[in-house]
Amino acid sequence: MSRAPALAACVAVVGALGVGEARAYDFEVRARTFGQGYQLPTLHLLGGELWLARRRFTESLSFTVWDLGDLRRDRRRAQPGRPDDGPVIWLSAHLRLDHDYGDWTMGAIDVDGRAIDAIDQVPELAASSLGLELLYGELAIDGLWHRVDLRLGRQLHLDDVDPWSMDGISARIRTPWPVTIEALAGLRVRDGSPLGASAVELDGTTGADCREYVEGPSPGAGTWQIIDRSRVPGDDRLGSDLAYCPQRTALMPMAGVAVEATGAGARARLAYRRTQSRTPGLIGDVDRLDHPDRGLYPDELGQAPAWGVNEELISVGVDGRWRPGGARGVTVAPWARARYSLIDAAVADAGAGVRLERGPHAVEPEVGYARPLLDADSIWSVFVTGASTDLRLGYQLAPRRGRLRARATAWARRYALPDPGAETAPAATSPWVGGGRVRAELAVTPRLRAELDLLGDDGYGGRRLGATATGRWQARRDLALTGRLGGLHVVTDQRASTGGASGVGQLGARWAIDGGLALDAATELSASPRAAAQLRVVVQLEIALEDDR
Amino acid sequence: MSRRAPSSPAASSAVARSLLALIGLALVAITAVTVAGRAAGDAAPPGPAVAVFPLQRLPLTFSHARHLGRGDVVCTDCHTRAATSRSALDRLTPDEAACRRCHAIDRGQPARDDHPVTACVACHPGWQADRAVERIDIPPPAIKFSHAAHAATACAACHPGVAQADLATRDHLPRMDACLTCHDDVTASGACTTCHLADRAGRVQTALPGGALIPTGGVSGAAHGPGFDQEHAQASRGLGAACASCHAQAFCVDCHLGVAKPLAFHAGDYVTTHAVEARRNQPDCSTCHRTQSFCVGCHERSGVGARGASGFRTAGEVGRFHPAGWADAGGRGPNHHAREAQRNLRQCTSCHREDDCRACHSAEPGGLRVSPHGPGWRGSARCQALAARNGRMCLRCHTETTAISCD
Repeated sequence: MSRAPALAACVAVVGALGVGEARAYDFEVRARTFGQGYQLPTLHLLGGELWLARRRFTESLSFTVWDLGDLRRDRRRAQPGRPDDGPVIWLSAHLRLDHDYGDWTMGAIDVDGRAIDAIDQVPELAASSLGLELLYGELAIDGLWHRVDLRLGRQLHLDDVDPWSMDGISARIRTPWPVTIEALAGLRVRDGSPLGASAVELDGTTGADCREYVEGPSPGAGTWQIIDRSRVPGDDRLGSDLAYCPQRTALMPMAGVAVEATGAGARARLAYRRTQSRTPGLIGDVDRLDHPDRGLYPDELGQAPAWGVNEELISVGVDGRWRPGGARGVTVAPWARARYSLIDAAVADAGAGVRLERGPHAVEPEVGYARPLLDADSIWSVFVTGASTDLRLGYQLAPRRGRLRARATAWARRYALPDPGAETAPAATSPWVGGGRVRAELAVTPRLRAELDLLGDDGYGGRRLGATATGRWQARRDLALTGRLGGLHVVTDQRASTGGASGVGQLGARWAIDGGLALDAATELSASPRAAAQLRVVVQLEIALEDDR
Repeated sequence: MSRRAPSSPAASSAVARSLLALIGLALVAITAVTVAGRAAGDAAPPGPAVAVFPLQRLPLTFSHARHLGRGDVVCTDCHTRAATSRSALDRLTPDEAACRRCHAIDRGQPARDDHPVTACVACHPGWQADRAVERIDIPPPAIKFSHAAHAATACAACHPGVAQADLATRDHLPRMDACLTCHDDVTASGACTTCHLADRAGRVQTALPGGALIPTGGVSGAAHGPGFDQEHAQASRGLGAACASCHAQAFCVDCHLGVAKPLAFHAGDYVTTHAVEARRNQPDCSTCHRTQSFCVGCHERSGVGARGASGFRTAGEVGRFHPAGWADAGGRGPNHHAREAQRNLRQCTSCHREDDCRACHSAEPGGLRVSPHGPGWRGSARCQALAARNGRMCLRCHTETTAISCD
């Protein structure tokens, strides 16, 4: 995100918090301080690889303040036993400061004998150079009129297959019938949003090398040119001097609605979501360039629409859970879901399966379908793309009393190429891929657990065989130790140099210093054909506070 | 660049054999796990979750079966406070006074025996006059429970088998299955915190003195066993998904939008070995990573991309990242990229920006005008949907002044 809006947002937040009389509220605060040190390689085919340091400092702060206005507390006093008979207001937020001060991000790249800040050459690195991100920060009003839950502010959703975030308002309305209605509206969070995070933005576009259409001598004879060509990279290593793309900073209004019905052990949900953005107009002064400047897109004859839809989805899902045979019978939990992209006029992904449980055993057969779903502003949205179909079979052993728990999964996938023209070329690899994985955990003693993880897969992409053994020992009430040994053999079907056998050893400890204070330290030593030894160290200090009223 | 042998009937057969071998391996492992699980289950400590009902020490000789078998004794004769108890913290085990109502215990004559028994050693095994009586240790359970509120329920409904047992142990304490027969959100509240301890947020307390409270399945199918960290998608969105009952949103954020790689998740030299999984998008990388920022940034910096310092732009076969003929515009040879791009476009977007593709696929004047749309594009519903909803994207390649149409 750009730092000016971030600073403004911080000032606004601090200002807002500073207003008014201080009151004592129930609260929960969790702060985590991370320090990481490791190296990543830059590939040099001749003369060996150059390893660059990542030195990462991260501070995250999440807090929740309950019962703002003491509404619930007052009700408890007035009507003991009925504290929830009315609205409750609370505030929750998660803020993160992240800085990578190692050479990986803050160093330079040699381009044609000229050293350029890495972050200028690769603007995408800005996501980790210096980030101040508000991942969520919402004011919640629950139980309004006994039926409505409201959320205001930045709301993070981790649904289906991707995380997304919105600055706005959402409401969940519980009707007198077993039907719930949800509605939301606001601005979708982008990398360029105040305190925004790139990870929640629609995928498919990057702010690097962003180009605008510069008209030529006659209509249609223009060329695309880097917008930032008039800029000169500066010495600011905390931000990219060449990441400027008006389309990626355009406000992105979004709205959605969902209806959910439950009953008889089943649920059905139908949802719709649409995100759009305005087409940027002129960039800067009209006479900024030698040629007529028509804006980001060619628009000589008014072709460029004022708005474009970035994402529009309809999703439907049904699931249920029944135990027809009583407490000792089989539990049947079928599910099916699908997302249809109105942008692509095609199903984006779908799946169906069932979980069958009996005692400690569960079997999960399922089938899935997926094709890439990208921001409609990305040209890849119009590329011919294939879909993949998955068949999966899972087994889970989860006894309530047993010491052994396990999960085994076997899967197979087939890729379908929609363009017969691509099939005419001799295939380098099979369209099939499949694999299996078995994980087991044994409670050797109440304080010692042993885990084993075996995996193998083959087909498109390559072949992998691996095993990992883990031991977890609660040495003392306040001290837990973890050790792990693993090996993986990879044969890729593309570049042999990225294959081979690698091994890893890890040692970690968690020391619960006090009730709300814990220190985690972990180190990893790995060896692979590319590096005889790599060391990685992660240290985390966790502080959790809550009022003791 | 070295490659495995091109696909052929023999290669396909090898893949099929490998798949069958893997499935066979999985079945063998499942069988082994099941057998071992049964054996290990037999040796497991009985009773409900230790985190809820911590392990007890009961140096006592007592027979519920003999007492209740008399026919004239009921539970509340000895557990006198049970019927009125409103907290699980209440100590409901009978004290010596309760025993004295029938047993003529005389501490001055500890060895004297009578009928019914009165000697100390009869109930306190190993009792010696010169040593303190070994006390029973029943840690307070981490649960909310009111016996008074359940007074209409038969004791045996929650303490099954105790009438036939000698000493009542953890094995006779209630399990959640029994609770859920009534706490089904119809007869009684099914909310987790009806019984489980709650924090200020109303979430279930999982860090308990007796250990961590971890779901074992049954309620929502969300048994947190091995592998659950990577395979919880359906459990988290299915009916009855109760993640928020225990976890704050920050818990999800720590992994899905985290900045510290969990050592157990991408262990070892994953930077090198991730290519196989990334090309398959298995597991789905997008649940945590955005390709056009996270992946591109890393690939460019590491020299795999097209703009960073890289050894891949040297001449000759060694200096190629993609094989010869990868981007030939004149025709599709055996190494052409079309197949890979159609199979999983996301693997392209993890290294390349859009402009890399526009170099050939743009329809602007002077461009190579290689259509990326595939056959049947013109007139297709997809073309019309895209043009109607985001026509500006079409202008990235179609810069002609005539109106763009799917017809």
